[in-house]
Amino acid sequence: MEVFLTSPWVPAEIIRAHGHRPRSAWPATPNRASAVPEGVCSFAQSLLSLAESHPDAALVFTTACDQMRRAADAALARSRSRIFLFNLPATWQSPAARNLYRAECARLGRFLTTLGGPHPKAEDLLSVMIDQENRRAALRQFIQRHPARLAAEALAGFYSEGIVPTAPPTDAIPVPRGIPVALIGGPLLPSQWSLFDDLESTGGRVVLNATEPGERCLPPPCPIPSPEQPPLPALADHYFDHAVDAFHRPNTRFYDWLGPRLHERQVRGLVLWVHVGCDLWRAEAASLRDAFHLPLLTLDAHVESTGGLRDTNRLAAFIESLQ
Amino acid sequence: MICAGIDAGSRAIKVVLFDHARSMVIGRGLADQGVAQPRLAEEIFAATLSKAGIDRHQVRSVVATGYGRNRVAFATTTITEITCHARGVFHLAPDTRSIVEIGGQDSKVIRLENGGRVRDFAMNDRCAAGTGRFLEILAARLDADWSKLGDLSQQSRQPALISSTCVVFAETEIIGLLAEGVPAADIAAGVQNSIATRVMAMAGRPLTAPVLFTGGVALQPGMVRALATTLDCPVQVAPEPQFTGALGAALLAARIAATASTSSP
Amino acid sequence: MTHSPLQLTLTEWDQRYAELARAGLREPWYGGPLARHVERENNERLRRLRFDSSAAALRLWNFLLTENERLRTARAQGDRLVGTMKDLGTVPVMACALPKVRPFYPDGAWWTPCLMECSDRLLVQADALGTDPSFCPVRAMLPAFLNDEHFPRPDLLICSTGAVCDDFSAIAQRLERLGHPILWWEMPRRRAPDPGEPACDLPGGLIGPAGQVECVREELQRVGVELGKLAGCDLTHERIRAGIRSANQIRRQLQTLRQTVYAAPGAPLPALEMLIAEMLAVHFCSDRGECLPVLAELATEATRRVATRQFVIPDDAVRVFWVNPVADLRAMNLLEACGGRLCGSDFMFTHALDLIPEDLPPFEALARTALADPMVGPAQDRARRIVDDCRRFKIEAVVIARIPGASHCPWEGNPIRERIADKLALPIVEIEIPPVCDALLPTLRTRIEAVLEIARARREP
Repeated sequence: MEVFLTSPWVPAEIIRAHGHRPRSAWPATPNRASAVPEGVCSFAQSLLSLAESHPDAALVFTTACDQMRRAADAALARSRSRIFLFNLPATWQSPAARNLYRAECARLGRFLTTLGGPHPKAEDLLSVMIDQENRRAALRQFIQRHPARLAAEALAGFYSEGIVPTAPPTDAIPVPRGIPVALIGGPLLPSQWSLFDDLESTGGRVVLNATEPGERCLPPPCPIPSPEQPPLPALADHYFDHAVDAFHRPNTRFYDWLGPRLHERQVRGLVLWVHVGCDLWRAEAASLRDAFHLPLLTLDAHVESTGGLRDTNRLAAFIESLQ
Repeated sequence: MICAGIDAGSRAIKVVLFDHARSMVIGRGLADQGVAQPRLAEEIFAATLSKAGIDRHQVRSVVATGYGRNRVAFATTTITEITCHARGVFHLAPDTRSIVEIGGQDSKVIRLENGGRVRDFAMNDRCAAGTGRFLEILAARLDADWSKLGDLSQQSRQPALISSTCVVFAETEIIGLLAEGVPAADIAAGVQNSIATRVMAMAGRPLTAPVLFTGGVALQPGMVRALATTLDCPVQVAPEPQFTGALGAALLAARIAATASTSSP
Repeated sequence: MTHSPLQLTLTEWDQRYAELARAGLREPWYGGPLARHVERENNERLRRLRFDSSAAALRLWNFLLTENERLRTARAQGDRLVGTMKDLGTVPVMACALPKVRPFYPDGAWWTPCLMECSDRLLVQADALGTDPSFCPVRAMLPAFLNDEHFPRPDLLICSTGAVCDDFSAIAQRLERLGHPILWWEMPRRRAPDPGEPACDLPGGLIGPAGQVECVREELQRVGVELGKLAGCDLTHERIRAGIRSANQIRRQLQTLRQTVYAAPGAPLPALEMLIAEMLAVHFCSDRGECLPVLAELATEATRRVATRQFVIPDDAVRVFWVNPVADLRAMNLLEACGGRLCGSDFMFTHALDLIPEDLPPFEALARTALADPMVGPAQDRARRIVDDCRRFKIEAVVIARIPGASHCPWEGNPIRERIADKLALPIVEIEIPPVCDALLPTLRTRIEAVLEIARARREP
């Protein structure tokens, strides 16, 4: 069965090990969401449309934010697809939070079994983990060598179909020029990738994509547990320890992750990508400014497209101000 | 027995005179709303009476509705536009189960039970994106007459996508679309779709057919199509849709007068 | 001294106060005429509200409006102040169980712009701090923390996170980044137990997975350790048990008050005073001991009025259930002005009105109570309780007040509406109420009047 994941912080390995096909929600969301009521996150609304358009699939929502939690409730009430709400702890500093995350991974496994998947043996999960890790390693390499848009496409391919592109020789890739900026924020959907082009056409260049599914969502290499160790807790702990997101409380881990990368890549400006209705990312604008003392532009994301001329103008002005 | 309904809306004041004995409308009047609301209401009421050849003392009861209802000093009582629209629609099309009313400053969705009783309603809050105000802004931007926008939208081949949920930002989008050379017809159709989408979002749940469309915006060609497409069900326009609220008010006035006469010694 | 109940303006209350004083009114230290709160704290909004005319209501208002003064006095006396954020009613029970520790509710700052008619400029300052009107009015809390003009800076800040609303979570995170360290504790999102999964009964007739209760219990124990460190003594089970018993006294008193007012044939107390009274279950106005007599006096007044059939509005007022607290208190007055009376409420903390189990280990009891919070579970659970209460109090219409910017409001309306429509077919209206709603009063009035008209029409055969 197709199992859509709405967050990068739920191990896709568990789904594969249960014989299902993990797919990320980002590339699959419809280009046009249904009418978005005032105050509703446009991405959460688009997930409802996804659930309604895939009655034979399952969707894994998470509790990362209130909007997503409530979208899961609405999907459960409205759509015919199977819905699982994964309790993603907001805290990460206590054993209770870790235990909660581990328990949720196990519960997800039980849910997947009810969908018809076999209960995997330890070696099956381990084998999936190794394979997934190899693909991620190749993806990391690809991302490092390619411009942001190509990297985003590769990430989408990986999350959507598990495909990893083969990297052409480095010299075959045209090196874009432009002022280095970091793109930070929530889900960036394929229908919104014109943002990369807009940035380049206005003289900028994304050197760090910290949206979903950007680099931020690729955890570091996962140490493969020894055959004597149960693999599921190891996998759960790896994800739990390396999730980097705005919803964490405190979200210092996100800032700790971001800081060195901004410095290394000589980022001169931040573009914050915020879905209309998303409080968690919107509130980070002021903190990002305070933390890194870099100019920041907030762009409101609608599901259908970027804001057209308005956003292009703002991007152009922003890049001009960085020159 | 003659009764009157006054719908003191944000854009216009509408008057309906209803003869209960003959069960028919015997007069209608409409005037633009303004700052001096009480005086304007008085004037249009007097004009309507005069045109219908009715003396003021013949009017047994007056119900005022709409935003400015409390400023209609000569009204016997006030009733909200929700109840009045429901009553007016029940009189015109008793089978109606859902009403979409789009006025100058607000829009509403009213669900009806058998017998025309209001089951449930929803109204837009502060944002004017799902209202006639949006069309006014569009008309100003296109330098076009409001009443011609509907005809313009009919010429659209590819309605523009207006994504903003806020009418102020949507205006910025319209400016952007014009700058990109998008035809005015496509923008007009896009705005109509946007209004319909906001109404659907406000409704929250699918509407039960038959759906009747009332309010001044219902007069715009193209708007009913946009609503029907968005709501995914047939939509009928009420006869003289801008007067539905005033008609309902007049009918309720008749009932109030009848109740008063039966309860008086 | 008895008299017919009225809803008085602030000016009228001056006169009433003089009458009460002449009749020998006895007041606690925080007593005095209501008008002084306008002069001292610049609470201009009080001029536009209508207050119940009883001495009991006077005491309630004085208790509420002296909160900042109480906190400053406590600080001067060496008490430790604990800001308990987002958690609605659990951590204060623990904090109150310790000597010289005083919990308070910084989230309550959301009413400051309303009371001060925005003259405090808190919302403008909140904008400047990065929380614009797309966030709920709790954003007023941010500048209130920074400018020291409202409540004193707490010695410890505790905030639940996880299954809480996004705007609050974002605002609290911003607060921490502005230099106010927070002790965060995890609140899982309540769900129904899976088949075969160990489960626990929760207050309010809910059931939760035992694993979630264990998680919350561990988190509360962690919070308890920090509270103990602050107090310089352990938060023992005995102390918490005593704290739970005291909290339950208040909850019982509130249950009595609600039953008396909501089940009465007329309205013995207005909606506004009921909102303020119910909120005490969450924060105690930082004085749990005083809370009880304040509520007891209100309940006595309500009982007296019911017995003498003296009501604040005509008996034929429509019986209304109100969902969510309002950012502008004036909206509660509006209900009565439109011909409705409050006969049931879900101000987002119904779990804080249920008794905390006294027959369980205390952390377990608190964990179960915390998990019963209507805000941490699906809106369908909330809707179920609302429907039950609507039946119990013979409700005729429901008002769902939306809090501007709150992440839960746009999602909750539909499930609540659908369940009420399905089970009771009551007329419902959703209205959004900003912190100062004056400009929207005609609009709000139309909506409320419309829903009351529908309810009245249904009385007809």
